[in-house]
Amino acid sequence: MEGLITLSKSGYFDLGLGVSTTGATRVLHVEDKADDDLLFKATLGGNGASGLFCLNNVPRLADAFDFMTHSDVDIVLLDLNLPDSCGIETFEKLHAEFPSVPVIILSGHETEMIATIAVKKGAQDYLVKDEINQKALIRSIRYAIERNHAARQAAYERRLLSMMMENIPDRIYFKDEHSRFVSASRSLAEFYNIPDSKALIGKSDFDSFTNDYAQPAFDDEQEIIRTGKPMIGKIERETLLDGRVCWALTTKMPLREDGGKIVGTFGITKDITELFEIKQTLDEERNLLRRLIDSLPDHIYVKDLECRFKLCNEAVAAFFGLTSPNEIFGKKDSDFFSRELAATFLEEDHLILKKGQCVNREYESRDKTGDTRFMMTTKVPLRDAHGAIVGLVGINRDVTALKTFNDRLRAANENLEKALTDVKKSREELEEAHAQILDGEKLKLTGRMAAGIAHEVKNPLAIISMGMECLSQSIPMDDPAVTEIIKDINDAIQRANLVIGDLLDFSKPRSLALKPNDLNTIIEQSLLFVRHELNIKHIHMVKRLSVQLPALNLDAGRIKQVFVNLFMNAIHAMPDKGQLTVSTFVMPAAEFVERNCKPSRDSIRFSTAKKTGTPAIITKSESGESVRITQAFKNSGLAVVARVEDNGTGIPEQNLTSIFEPFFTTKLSGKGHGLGLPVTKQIVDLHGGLIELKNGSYVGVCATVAFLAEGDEKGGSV
Amino acid sequence: MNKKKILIVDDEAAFTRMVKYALEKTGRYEVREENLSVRALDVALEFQPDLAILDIMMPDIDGSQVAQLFKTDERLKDTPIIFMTAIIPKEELESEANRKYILYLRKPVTLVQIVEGIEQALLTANTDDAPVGPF
Repeated sequence: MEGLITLSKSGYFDLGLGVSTTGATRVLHVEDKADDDLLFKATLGGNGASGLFCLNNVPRLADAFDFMTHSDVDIVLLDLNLPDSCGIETFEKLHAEFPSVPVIILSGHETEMIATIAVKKGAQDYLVKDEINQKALIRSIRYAIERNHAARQAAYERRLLSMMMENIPDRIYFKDEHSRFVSASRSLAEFYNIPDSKALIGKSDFDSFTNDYAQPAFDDEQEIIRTGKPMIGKIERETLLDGRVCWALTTKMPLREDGGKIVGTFGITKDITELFEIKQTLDEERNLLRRLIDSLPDHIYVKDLECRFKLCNEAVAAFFGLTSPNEIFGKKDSDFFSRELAATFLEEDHLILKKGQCVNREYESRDKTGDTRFMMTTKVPLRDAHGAIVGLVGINRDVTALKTFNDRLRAANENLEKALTDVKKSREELEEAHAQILDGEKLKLTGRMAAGIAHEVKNPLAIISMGMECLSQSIPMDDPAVTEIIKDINDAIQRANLVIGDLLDFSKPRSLALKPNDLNTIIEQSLLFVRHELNIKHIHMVKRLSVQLPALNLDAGRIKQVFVNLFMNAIHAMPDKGQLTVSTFVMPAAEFVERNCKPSRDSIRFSTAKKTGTPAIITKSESGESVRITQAFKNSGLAVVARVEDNGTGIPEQNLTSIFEPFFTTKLSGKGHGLGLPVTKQIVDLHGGLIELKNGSYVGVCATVAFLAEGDEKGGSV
Repeated sequence: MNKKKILIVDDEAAFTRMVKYALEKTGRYEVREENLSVRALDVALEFQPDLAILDIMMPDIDGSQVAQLFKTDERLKDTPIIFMTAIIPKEELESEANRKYILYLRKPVTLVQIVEGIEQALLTANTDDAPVGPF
């Protein structure tokens, strides 16, 4: 009895049908005849007295339906002839409604035939009422439940297998010892485009695949059958008869009988075509990337967090002299570069790895042959999908050619700029020459004008002068008034003649007869001209002439004119007594400019001739010329300086800007004609010298003339 | 002593008249004046002067051209010439300054200067080797 209970329990449990609360076998007796009912009650020990059975009785089929709908029943004892149903139909109806509940048919002798039909149709057993005893009944019930359970268990397992075979997309099959299908999953059939998997049974791979695939698969299976060793996780390339190519992951096992004898194989094949294609795509991409970086002439490499190379391209391998890029793995910069260089790189790498900075710079390196190469390097952090830095990527570009090209370009550019500067300078010189030519033309014109004026004035003067001589011979000279008149006329003739002479001087073509001369000698000779004037005006002469003046390239005659003019101006500024000081000395030319050429209120530099209101004689751009000479002074060595100082009346402030203008004079009529200083300055200019007139600190005028010492810029001529 | 014959060519008639008056008053010279330079050669050929004073800047042909005409004439080529001019053009100085028989006098000029010039020029013409230069 124990076994029965156990079986029932486990059986019901396994089938998921529930268990009676009491643990007793729940029997429903469907019988309309009270006697029979009693019989069974008695047979089974009466109303479940032993606790093994829980017996219920209903008289009609409808009652049974009702009961079973509401209560669990382990087994039905069914009489076929009921008030509401009769014969085999009674079983059929019940079985159709409750197929999982085992049924034992109770019949009389007369209905035994029908009972056997019922058994064929699914009843577990039949018992002839007259022959029932308690022992046989209990055994029949027990077996019926057991058989029903086993059948249901098998059906259940079949269903599981079937579900698998019908639904799993992986292809599952069982084959016999000749590798012919004995069972195949729906997915397998679909794979072959066969509507029903049963159609495959008896066929082999040779019917569905090309021999290329079928033969090796057959050989594999035969090997499994022979050795019993499974084949697990093999990737196979399948070529179907219609030409399709698939990839499959296949596991094949030996199919054994209960006794362990191998009678075939079974296996499961997963179509990994898609996966494989993805893998292939990935492989292709990877290979493409690999080929890409290997094709690039730039150096490309990846380092890990420890600054060890993880990979590099062919260019890096070639640069380092490696036979293959794979050799780079695990190496460090210190394996290839000098310690200093490697340390620099390491420091830089740390910056990238720790701070995520990017590096862009150029550096000089030597390749394995020892040639200097200029590399442009870019290093960036390598990040994983989450953004964490896992290493760095570097790209080095060999810019040696570019740099060489750039250097050449720069050099070419410099040459070009130099050429441009030269051209510019040439142009400036040309313009200057042009200006000078223009100036020359103007001067020629003014020269001709001056000559014309001189001619037209001098001829009348000659007539007057000659006439005076003729007249004076015939006029009685005893009248002192007449004598004075004649003298005045002659003086006037002389004055007019002098003005014309200076005018000619000033406008005469500018050429100099330059020879090495001693400035002191020229000054001494000039003084001879004014000796008479100095004496009658009682002017004290002071000479401070340096004994070591370098010789100067000067036109002695013209320079004499300069000093005579300066001396005469000084003398005229001291009508009664006074002191004239003339000194010469040498000083650095630049210093001379520094000291004397700063614009100040009481100093005149190099004529500031106003263009307006002055005679056409001054046409040359004096300021431009002066700037050029000043610049020459700044760039030269020594200047020889002569200074003429008087302690006379000085130059009125308002006249300082006008003293170099032609016909500007402060002297009384007859004492000067206003061309002295313009002519003086012109001569100094022609010598490339500088002249400056300013009032002395307390009294008088200080005139300074400076020339560049021999070997420096010389005075030019127009 | 014969009076030296002096030809003066100058477009300024007042000037030549005065010079003629002054020189002839000395009693040493016979002076012919001519105010048209184009007639200078004809007058000279006719007058056969011992010395010619030529103004340089004259209308028509100038003094130096007149001198050239004299130089090309056999009868006049040795005649000493004094150029008298208000201004001396640079090119004249360069081309003629060092030539013999040629003197320069600058206007305005005194009678003394003229006489000295004439006498020196005549002397030079006779000795042929005295240095000559502008006054």
